[in-house]
Amino acid sequence: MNSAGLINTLSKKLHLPKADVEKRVEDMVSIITEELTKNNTVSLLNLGNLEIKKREERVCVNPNTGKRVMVPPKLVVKFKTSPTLKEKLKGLKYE
Amino acid sequence: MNEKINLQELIVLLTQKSTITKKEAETFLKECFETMHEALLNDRLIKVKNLGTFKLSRVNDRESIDVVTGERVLIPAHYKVSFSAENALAQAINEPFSLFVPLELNEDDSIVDSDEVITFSEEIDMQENDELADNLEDNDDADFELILEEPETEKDTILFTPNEENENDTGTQDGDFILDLNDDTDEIDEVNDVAEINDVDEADDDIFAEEDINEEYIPVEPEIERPNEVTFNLTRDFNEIIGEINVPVEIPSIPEPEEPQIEISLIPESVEPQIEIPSMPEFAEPQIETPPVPEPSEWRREPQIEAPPAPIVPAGERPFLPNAPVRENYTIYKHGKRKLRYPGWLVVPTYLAIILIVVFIFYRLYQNPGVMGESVPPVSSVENAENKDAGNDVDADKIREKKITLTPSEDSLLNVLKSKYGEHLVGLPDNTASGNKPAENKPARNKPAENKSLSGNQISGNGKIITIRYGQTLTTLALNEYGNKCFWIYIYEENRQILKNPNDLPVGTQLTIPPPQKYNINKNDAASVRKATEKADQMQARN
Repeated sequence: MNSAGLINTLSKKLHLPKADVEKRVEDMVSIITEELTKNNTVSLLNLGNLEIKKREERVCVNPNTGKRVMVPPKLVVKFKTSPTLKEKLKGLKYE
Repeated sequence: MNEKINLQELIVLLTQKSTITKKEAETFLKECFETMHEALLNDRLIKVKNLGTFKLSRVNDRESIDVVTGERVLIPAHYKVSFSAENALAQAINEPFSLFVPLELNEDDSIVDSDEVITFSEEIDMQENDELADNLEDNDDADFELILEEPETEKDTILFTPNEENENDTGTQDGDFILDLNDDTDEIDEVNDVAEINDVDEADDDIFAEEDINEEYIPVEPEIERPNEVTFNLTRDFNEIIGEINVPVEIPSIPEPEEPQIEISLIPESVEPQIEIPSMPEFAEPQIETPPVPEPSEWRREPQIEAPPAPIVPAGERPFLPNAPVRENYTIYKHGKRKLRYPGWLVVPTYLAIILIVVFIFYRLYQNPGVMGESVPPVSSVENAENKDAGNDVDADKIREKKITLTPSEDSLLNVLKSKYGEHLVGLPDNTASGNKPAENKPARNKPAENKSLSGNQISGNGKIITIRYGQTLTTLALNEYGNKCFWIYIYEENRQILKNPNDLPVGTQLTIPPPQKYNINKNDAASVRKATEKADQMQARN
């Protein structure tokens, strides 16, 4: 399901016009982004937590040229699955 | 700063941002997450704009060991949620570190802080690659450009997807390389000499192992250059073929149609197309305009029967033919030129061959810097002769080992030797020479070696005077002069005034080599050898 599908379903469930729902979703995303940039962990109910992690710098070798490149450290978003979701995933039939 | 934003706080923030009531925000968020949850379970994928993608990915079942009990546990296959942030989010998150760019390291940069382990073999690989790259830089301007270009592209894009970038790099690299080759060909066409091509022909196997260039271009090109060269190569190749084929093959039918054609080539006005048959049997490709194309194997056999006329006649006669067919030359030239359209690969092998030669010269220089340019003393022949006296050699080796370990206190040695052998040294050459006539019949095989090694050395009454060159020792001198290493002791004794230490032989020292009769030196006489060995042992024992 993509963003449009999500907005569609939400508007049906909440009996709200799509534009409103879209605005709220956008607001929610911007809030999450904002909080994450403040290095806060954001918990998404029943889904899990989004948190920031630092990837350390490392040296990698380009196998073609043999040149070593220092890859700088960077901050990435890490998603931690909540236990409830994990339980549900266990019940999910493996295909 | 490191707080956890849970649902309640999220609701508050949303009410402020969207100017809705708290209840609305709560229901919205709950519904939103619930929908996402369901969608994740049903569709296994949920994409939220500007946030990212939640995706279920399979984890195959695997065996694990229970840490507590040590039992083997099978972890069943299951799903896990993987989240990949969208570009906007990732960039926003990485804002504090966004000023970093990938830094290309030089070889001599040492990484202190990193935990990254680069294994030894990897380093070697890197060095080799660098060397290769250097060579290419030297050889080809285009390659040089290519190497210059690479870092920029890497810097621009490696930040996010280094792997993909690598793949792209390989693609462009190969493409560029091939293009360069094609570009070069036109210039090389006219410039190349035959000799150069032949050199390259020998070298190209090695080079093509290193570089991934299509080998399809190699096979026929070097032989086809211009008409004259073609014939030259033909004679050579025919001779080789004759050398190879020893088994008499009787083919009654095939040579007969071939023979008249060879003769026709001498009277070429009438039968132009057929002339090319004798002149180009070397070409493996039957593209020549000949109506009946015999099989290559038959061509190979042909010279065995009609060998001498076939190669020599066209080679020698053609230039002198008054009515030499112009068209023949033209076709051959055209043919050659057409084939030479892709000799771009010749550049790289040529340069590599030159580099190899230079390396070889340096290697030689490094091995014996003093002897470069001089004639190397032919020790090997003497050694070969000497190896027959196995027992003597063993003794000599022993002496040499001892001699190396020995560190004489020089004054005492000098005194002792003087007291003992002083009379010999003062001058008994006449006595010994007259008394030991049978010793004069030296082995004949030893003489040429001696003569060669003596070139440039004086021969005085008491013996030869030899100037020490780099790498020479008393033992090698003895080996050259007398045929056995163990006689070094006599040379040493003869020159005791000059030499303080038998192990220290400065370059340029002039030594007198006593004539063999003086000390009764005969390398074939076991007693003489033993005497010399004992003498050396004694000298060592005295120290």
